[in-house]
Amino acid sequence: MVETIIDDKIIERVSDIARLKLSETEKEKFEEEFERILKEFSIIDEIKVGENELYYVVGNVNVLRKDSESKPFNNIKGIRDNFNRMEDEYIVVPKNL
Amino acid sequence: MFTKDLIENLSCGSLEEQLHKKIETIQKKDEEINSFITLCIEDAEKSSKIIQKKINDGSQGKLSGLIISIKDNIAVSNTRMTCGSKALENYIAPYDATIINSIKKEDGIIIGKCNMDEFACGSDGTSSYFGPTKNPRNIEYVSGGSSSGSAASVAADFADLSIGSDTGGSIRCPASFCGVYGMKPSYGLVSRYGVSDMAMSMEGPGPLAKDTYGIALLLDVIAGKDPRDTMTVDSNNSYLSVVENYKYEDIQNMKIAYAKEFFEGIDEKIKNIVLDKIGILESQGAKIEPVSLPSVKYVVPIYYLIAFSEFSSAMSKFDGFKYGYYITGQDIVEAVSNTRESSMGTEVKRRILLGTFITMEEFRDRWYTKALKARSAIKEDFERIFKTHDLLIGPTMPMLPPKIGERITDPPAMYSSDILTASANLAGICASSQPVGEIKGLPVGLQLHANSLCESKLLKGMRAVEIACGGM
Repeated sequence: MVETIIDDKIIERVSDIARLKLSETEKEKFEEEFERILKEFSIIDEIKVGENELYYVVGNVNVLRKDSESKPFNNIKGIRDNFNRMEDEYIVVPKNL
Repeated sequence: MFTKDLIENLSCGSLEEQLHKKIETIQKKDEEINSFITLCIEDAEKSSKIIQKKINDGSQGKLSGLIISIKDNIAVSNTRMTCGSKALENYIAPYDATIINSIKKEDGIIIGKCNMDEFACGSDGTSSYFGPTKNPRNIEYVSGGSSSGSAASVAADFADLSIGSDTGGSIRCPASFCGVYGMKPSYGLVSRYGVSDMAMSMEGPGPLAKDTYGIALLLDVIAGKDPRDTMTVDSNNSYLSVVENYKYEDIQNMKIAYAKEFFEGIDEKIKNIVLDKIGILESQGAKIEPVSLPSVKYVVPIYYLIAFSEFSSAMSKFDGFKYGYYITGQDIVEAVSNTRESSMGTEVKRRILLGTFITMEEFRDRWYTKALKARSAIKEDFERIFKTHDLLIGPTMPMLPPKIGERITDPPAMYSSDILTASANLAGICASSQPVGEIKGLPVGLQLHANSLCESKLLKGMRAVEIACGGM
């Protein structure tokens, strides 16, 4: 099994993908910890596994709802009251381009 | 049966008086214990008046005015819901979770929202943004987590019943540490609609109480199919009658498995207390047989690898735009990164990052996929046991609650405390914890497992243990 190497670059990539800014101290701390955690977790290599990937433990498949008009959610104000910045009916976010 | 007596007392006494007694106790003691994040006193008083009228004309629901606390990752309409995090410090839930609807319909009085480890990431109740929950049995010790306030509020008599949630042991661990009853129902038995998700394939809400009767009563109210959670299945909701109709002789028909792997490396004193109770059950006629469960030592890594992956995905919705804490930035990416950096605690960040890492294209097969395959092996192990046995018995926690200042902060050591509880979540089966003794005033919990959707068997087992421990 190929060993997983965790270095500064990996931590930075992960932080970027996870949209989670990290301080320099946090980066160092997590780098050291992740190395240790994954080393400990590599004990799972001892288990003989089949090909079956178990995502869900219940047998429900294709659960469909009735093909009828659903009841609309009526507490729109309750949702809107949680918005942080709003102009007219829109949520204000920073520019994306 | 304690909860049963309580209901009888409520039906002839004054509900308002009962409620005020509880509120007084909370105001006197909760500043120290810290089991609540938000109290719903006004709403509780309003409900108590309405329910009192119903009691007077005999039309009350199953919960008939019992006082119930709710873990703060479950939505109660128009009430603050923080998940124990700064990220949701001011979030007001705009709707009721399905189980909250059911509790209200059956005339339960919601007294408040309970403290919890931040986003349910923890097993000792100390990682909440709102401070640690202290153990009511001895406030120098942790309460266990992540449903810390749920267990503590029942133990301290702030609430008659509570709702927690369990992803890897988060109901059973604090129930064990605080000396109360707790049950993690089978995956799919109780709706998760309105529960803030942490690890969608393993978690679910469940009841905490002071006895088996209370667990069964609350389970009857919350169990069953919900069109809003497609994983849910039908339930006959007659759990309470299973407990009420239980007879002492029923123990003679119970085949209980005992896995030595559940007793390896645990606190000797806990081991002795649990073994002593197993001996009592055997002397009363239960068939106790040893089985082997070699996969126990792999449970923690398999559980955490899957939990990290699902958690990192679940947490991506917290960007600060639609709700929650928000810090802006030059562009969207920077705003989201800033918001998450400044509103989430260390353990939450650790899990988001690890989950992101092990699901990245180049590492996915090595970690995530491997864990999913290993999960099948765990499930098969339990299926094998439940082909020949009704229950699997053992301790809930490998150790007693640690002192608040002495808790373990090293992640691998911290994760290892879930070793006896997390397999139930991986396999989707039901499991319980109940108090069976104490060591220097600190409670010891006994854990029972039963096969998926075999809650009736589990409750019979809980009742048998309750009687074996001298419970009425």
